[in-house]
Amino acid sequence: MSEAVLQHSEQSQPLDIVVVDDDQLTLDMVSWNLRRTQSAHRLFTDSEAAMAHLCESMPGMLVVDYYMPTINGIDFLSSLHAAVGFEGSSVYLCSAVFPRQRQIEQITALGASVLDKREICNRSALLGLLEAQQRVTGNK
Amino acid sequence: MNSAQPDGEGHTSTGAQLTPDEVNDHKLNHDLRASLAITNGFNQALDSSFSELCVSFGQLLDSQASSTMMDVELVNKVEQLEADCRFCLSRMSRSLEKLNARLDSDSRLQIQTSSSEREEGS
Repeated sequence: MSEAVLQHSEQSQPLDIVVVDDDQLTLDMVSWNLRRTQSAHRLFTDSEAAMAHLCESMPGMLVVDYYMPTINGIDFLSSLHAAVGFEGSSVYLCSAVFPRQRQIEQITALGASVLDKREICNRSALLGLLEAQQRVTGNK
Repeated sequence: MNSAQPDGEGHTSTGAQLTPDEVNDHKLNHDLRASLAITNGFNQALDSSFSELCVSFGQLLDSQASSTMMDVELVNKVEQLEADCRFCLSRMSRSLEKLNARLDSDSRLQIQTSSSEREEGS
């Protein structure tokens, strides 16, 4: 996967991304990895502000951290799913540890997927994910 | 930060009930791995920015050797890359501080646990 390919696909359909993570360093990392791409991204450390934003407008791709101070990622996604649904969006629960089987079942039931935190911290992996995402979006 | 408990102990119905110790272990494991992932990410970013900086700086030196005119575009690029390297280095430093703090709290937890186990055993 190359950045040129990513930018080419973005020209046809720019991908909007929202990331919710209480750790500012993680958001700095994501922001760094997404620079020089044409994707529009909004990053939230505050889960309540993120929820308010998402209820107004769901992005093409949403990544939510697992451990947050006031709400965990699964409960956040459950509330959001109940409020607006996930149709038209790719939703990920991001974690540095692999969730337990029961949690995976809950995440899957919501129509979301699990994303390893290393993937959003690695530029090549993140751009590869975006490229795959854009292919899916482009095929719809 | 990171105080919600995705599993067990009264906060949510998201998983099998775990003991508070298991929840703490899970959270600590998550936090340590997260810090490592971020540190690695900024390390890679610094590596690629510094490589780019070296190439551009070499080009700048070459251009100055062959002309008295300063290549403004190249100078701007070098300055930008230098700023990128500083940014990555500062974030890597913060990530390492956080990782150290988390490892420190892990060591304290382990010492406390072994002390309690010894007290229970005696």
